[in-house]
Amino acid sequence: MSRSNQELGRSLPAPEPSDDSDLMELIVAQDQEALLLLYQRYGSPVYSLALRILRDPGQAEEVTQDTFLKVWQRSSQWDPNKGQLSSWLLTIARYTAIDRLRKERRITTQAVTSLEETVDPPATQGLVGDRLWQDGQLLRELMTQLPSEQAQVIELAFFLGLTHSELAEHLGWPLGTVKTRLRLGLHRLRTLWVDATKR
Amino acid sequence: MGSLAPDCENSPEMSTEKPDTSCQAIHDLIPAFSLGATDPAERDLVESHLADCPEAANLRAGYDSLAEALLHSAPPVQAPSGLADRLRIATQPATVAAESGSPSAKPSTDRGFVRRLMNALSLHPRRSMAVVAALSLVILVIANLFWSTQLRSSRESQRQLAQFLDHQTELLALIGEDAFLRIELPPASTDVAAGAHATVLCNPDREVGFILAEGLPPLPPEQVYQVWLVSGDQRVSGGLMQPDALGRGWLAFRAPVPLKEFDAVGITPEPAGGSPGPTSPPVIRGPLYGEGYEES
Repeated sequence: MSRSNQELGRSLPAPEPSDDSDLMELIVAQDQEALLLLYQRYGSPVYSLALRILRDPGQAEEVTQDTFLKVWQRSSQWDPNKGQLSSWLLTIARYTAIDRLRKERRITTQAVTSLEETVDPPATQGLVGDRLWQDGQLLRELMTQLPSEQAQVIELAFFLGLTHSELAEHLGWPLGTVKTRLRLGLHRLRTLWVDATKR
Repeated sequence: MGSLAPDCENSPEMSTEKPDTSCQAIHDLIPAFSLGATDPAERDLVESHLADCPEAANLRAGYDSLAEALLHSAPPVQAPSGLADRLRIATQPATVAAESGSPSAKPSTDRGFVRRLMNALSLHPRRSMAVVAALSLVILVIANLFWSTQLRSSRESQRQLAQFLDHQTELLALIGEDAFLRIELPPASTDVAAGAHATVLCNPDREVGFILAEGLPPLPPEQVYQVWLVSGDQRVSGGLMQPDALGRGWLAFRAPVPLKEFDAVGITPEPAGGSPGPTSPPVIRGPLYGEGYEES
């Protein structure tokens, strides 16, 4: 909290920062309430991504907590000129979750067996107007239009953080096949996405 | 790879000439590069090519947007309700100084007992000097026994203190370098110890650190708290911690490798003397920034 807010905080309620940049300024100043507000805004997307990667509610909860603590301790590293705050948060969550998977050597095909998920309606509150969230949910639908091998290799690469050679070893496919399916799948997905957002 | 840039100007998307396969091959890697799926050698190739090829940079921007949207593609699930409380506890300002200075926080002393004893003696002013002398002798014998025990205990404490001072000297040097991190650790579960939390002071490049825990639940005499450094499925003991009456404990610990090699720190109740590995769920647990965290 800024000094003026700290001084006035007891007598006047501080206005809730509507902008992510304002919120992060308060978090840089170690304003605990600002961090909790950030969690209120983005806790569900972070938890959803961690759960998508780890498939374990307990571990997803730990990764979500770790993600927000990393933001608390490294908040000054966020540069608003480099992207949306939600994307920065989710990038941290993604790497934290993937790191956890790698440490525990728990990467299996189970992580990509199903693209069908149960949507939790309360979790979408506050997100429906967010463009990035809308794009992400659209992409999830468009993934179902890809050939299954292409969708599978994209899911493994993105949600489990596997590289070309790791994908080849994991799937038992030739390296060239992996590269081709990943490239064609991403090209196709991007085309579908661009077309859909034009409409 | 700067030499590739001129060839890219004649790439198939901009010219009818025969495509430059080297350039095209690198462009073909860009979708995977944006997803983080390229192998290290491929990543180096793309990165050096991007600096000189605007077409590649445009292509990358398109796929970076796709990758960013994929971050938001997980099916929405409500975050657990207790997480906000755990974050609040993990990030609350340190209260040690305030508590130690607060009279209400001080443990009760034996002043009441002393006063009662004095009152008891004053109620019998005519007791003989012999009774007083006998009482004094008993007190002296008890005091002698007490101090003998204390002396033996002090020698062991002295040895432990010397060991601790070695750690502390390194810690002070660390703090003097202004290169240490302060890491807050939350309770592992609101069910077990909602008020427990800890602060770690460390430099990720060094092997020594200091942990201060608060709100630790009291343990039976046959148990002690043990600090664990976590790396994947490995647990390395950082040492034992005996909390005071207010549930505060501290420990200067030394790891076999720099602390950046570890992912997390945990504190578990263990049998007195410690365990080779955790035998009960942690009361405090939090990340210690192991590898894998990439700055965006």
